[in-house]
Amino acid sequence: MKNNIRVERAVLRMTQQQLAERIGVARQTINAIEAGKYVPSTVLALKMAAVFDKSVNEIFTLEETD
Amino acid sequence: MLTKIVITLKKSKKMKKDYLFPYQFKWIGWSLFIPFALLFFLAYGCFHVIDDDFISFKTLMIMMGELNIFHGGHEAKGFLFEVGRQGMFDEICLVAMSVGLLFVAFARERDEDEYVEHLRLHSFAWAIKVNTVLFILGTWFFFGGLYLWFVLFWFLSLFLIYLAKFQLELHKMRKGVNDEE
Repeated sequence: MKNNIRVERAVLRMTQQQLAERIGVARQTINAIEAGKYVPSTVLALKMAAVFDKSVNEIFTLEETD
Repeated sequence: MLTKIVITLKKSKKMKKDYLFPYQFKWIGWSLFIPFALLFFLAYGCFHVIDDDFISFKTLMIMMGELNIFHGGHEAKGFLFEVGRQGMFDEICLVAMSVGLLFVAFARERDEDEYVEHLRLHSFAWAIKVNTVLFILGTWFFFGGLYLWFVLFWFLSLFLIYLAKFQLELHKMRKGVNDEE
């Protein structure tokens, strides 16, 4: 699964740490999600979507292998 | 919208992963495990400094033995339940060691979240696989009294392998973060 969290963060000029604090996780979790090492839970995906004021589908997209 | 997220976060923190112990249990666990592991080694390792009867008291003992019951003229074997005085030093050490390791293994990390939980699950699955391989090898090659010792350490090794793998994963995760951004 691909995501454009890094881009969305850049739009809001938000660091990984700031995003992590807003949604209540550690900075390394944001890092792992951005790097594609970890697929977040639905709850976390919805929280991110709320921060970026977008729908989950606009942030996360399925790949052919999913 | 932000207020809504904050309220949700507060609620989710209350409900979060109740199978984990508080962070301090990591240190309580190590301070239980290390001294009792050393005492156990002193009693049963190379030195035999401490005797098992060092601490003894009356306890329920469950054993296999000859039962005084006759089934069609044959003496039966079965479980015997007795209450008697036993040297309990090794039992105390082993209970303390296993409780200590349980506390360490399930103590919350300071930065515990769903990714750390994911690493826990991954490490636990890995440890069970490795420990099963150890069990197969031990069962195949150890015989007699040595097998009892093997089974004893095999149980503790599940925690130790899990902890080693989990700490390695945490280290890699934290190191990875420092390289980025």
